[in-house]
Amino acid sequence: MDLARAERILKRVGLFLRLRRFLLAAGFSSFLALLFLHGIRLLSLSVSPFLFGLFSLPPLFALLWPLDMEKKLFWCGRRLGMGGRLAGLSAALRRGNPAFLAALLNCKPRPSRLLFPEILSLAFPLILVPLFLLPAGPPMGVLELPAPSKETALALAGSASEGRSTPLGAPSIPKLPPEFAGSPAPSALSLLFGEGVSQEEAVQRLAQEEGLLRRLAELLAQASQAGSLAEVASEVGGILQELGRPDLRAALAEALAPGREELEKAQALVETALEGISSLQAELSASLQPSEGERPQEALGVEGARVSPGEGGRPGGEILMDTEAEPALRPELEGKGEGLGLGVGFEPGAPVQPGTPREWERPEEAVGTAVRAGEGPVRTGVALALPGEPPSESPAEGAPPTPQEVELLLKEASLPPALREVVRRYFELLGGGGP
Amino acid sequence: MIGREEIAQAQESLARLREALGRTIVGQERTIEITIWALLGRGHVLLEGVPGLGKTLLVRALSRALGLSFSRIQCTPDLMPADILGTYVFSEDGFRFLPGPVFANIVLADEINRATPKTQSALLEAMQERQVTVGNTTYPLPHPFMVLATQNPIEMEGTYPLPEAQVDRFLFKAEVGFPREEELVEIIRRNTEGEGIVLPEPVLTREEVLLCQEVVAEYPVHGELLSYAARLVLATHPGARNAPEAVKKYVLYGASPRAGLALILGAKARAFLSGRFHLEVEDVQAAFRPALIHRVILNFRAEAEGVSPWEVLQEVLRAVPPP
Repeated sequence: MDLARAERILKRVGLFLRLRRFLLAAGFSSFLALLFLHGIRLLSLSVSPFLFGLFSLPPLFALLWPLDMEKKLFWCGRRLGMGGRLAGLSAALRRGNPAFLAALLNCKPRPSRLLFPEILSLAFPLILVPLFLLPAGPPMGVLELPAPSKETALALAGSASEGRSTPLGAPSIPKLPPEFAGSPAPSALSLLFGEGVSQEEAVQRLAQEEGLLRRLAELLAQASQAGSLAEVASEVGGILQELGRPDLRAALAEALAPGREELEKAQALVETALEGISSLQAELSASLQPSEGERPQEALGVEGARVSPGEGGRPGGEILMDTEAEPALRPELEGKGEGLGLGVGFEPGAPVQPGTPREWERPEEAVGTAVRAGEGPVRTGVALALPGEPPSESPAEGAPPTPQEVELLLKEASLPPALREVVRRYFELLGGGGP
Repeated sequence: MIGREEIAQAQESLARLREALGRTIVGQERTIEITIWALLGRGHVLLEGVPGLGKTLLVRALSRALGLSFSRIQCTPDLMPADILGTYVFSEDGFRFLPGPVFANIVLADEINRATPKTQSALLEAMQERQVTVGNTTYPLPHPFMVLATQNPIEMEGTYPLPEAQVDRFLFKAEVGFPREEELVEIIRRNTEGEGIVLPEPVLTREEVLLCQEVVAEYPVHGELLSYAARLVLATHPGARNAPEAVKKYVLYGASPRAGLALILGAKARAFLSGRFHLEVEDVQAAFRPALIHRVILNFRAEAEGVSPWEVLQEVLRAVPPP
């Protein structure tokens, strides 16, 4: 009778010891699993759900692995407030001494107390789990570059768009001709970028947006061929963060979310948005056609386009074009748009009501400052500004920057090495030092 | 097999013994406790302390309270082994063995370090084998048999330090400390008023003493506790893997395996005295000092630096993790 009872007590203690070990292992495994999940989200990787099954192995091992309970009895006794009684019970059971067994059985151990506070090891992962169950935002995992100051970004973009150098540190936004204000294009631009953005800036951001979208289209095509977004995920994520239109950004993020990766839908979205931008640019050109018919580039505020041979800071007025972007921009530069279309949230061809509030409107939204290799403000600015250079009023303004100024500019912009080289080469070309 | 009634009876007997000793001896609770541990563990005790601390009184009171035969040997340099063990005398019936004072249940070897090594060694067989061999005949000693030896740690002139082999035969060494002020006042009062010191009446029978010893021997000890005791003993050896730095530096010889027995027997007796039926880690730790203090031999460096055995043993206790 006493022997059976003693055995039962010790078995119960053993069971709770196993449970305790299981809880500790489960807490640790859950924490590791959440860390792992966080990691693959950051890197925008997609892994097999079976991989997460591996995290259930440690708790299972902890539960089933043989337990050397004898070594734990003194510890258990202390935890249960029984001192060495459990160990004494085990020893008396081994010796089969009924008198000592009966005396030692005169207690009621509560082995469930062994689970406290170990059960709290699960609390932290459990608190974190709901956060991980929330829908994912735009793909992350982009190496966040230190954002250059707004002035620097504008100076970069401005100097590039003008196709010539500007004094370093002086923000330069392309000037629009006065006729632009009377055209319907400004209302469309304000719809896109909000009322608070100046028209010149809106034009520039439109060009930036187009550059980003074209690069995104290339990346999506690349991903579509590869069958997975994994290789270009980080760059796509970066572009999505830089996109100026929140609605488009959200729609793309949803389509490209880990686990979904609806590449075709994303491509369609990008295509529609590009069409909308092309149409808007065509509209802009058309609105300025009566006064500046033969030079639609000027309507876009690209003063460099007016440069005739022999004018400007460059001998012979040589036009520099970004060979990558030029074919794509050529129709827009020549005013051959397809009509007004604003992409997501708008029906192509539908009349746009000026001043209609949109959920993604952000009046004070700043120019995207994250700069990435092969895209972003510099590249799009180059594409729009390359046709020529304006006549400079003073020799100092028209002169290309010195290499020292260029290095200073690059240093301030904190550009990645690849883009840094492109920008350096660009200024070399401007200064006549290149091929 | 011991039953619950026997255990209860033994605990009651022991309570009576403690009460009787407490009435006679003022203070010295630790010394009394260690002496009872040794009695319950069927061992012997070496009482070390300066004169006048009540060592002899304790032994006399113990023997009286236990109701056992008692003999006292006052050790001197001219004491011969035959004076302790006994000798053959010629009578009308021929040679007849005349037992010495060692043939008693409780033997007090007072100032044992004053006897010569030869005489001290006469006690070796008696203490370990509980028998005496005289000539070609072996005589068993009475049961229970317990030797309580006293020695003065200060007076060294004309003394013969006990050889290690003999020291090791004492289960525990009780260091008799000086009484506190209130205890000293009580000692003075009892010795100067009325009839003076009154020894207790017998409160136990021989059978009850044997029962107590049997109950303590039956105490179940968990394997982890045995392992802990073994690790403690091993850690006193300078060459042991788990020996602390102090042991490697100051110890010449570590404790013998008898130290392990003493630890467990002391722990069992302590648990029994506490009314528990199981052993705690603290029982072993409490028995650590009296069980090992006389078994660790320090080297010259320790003596030169004034390091005591207990300082080294404390390092051992700290270095060995309990179960």
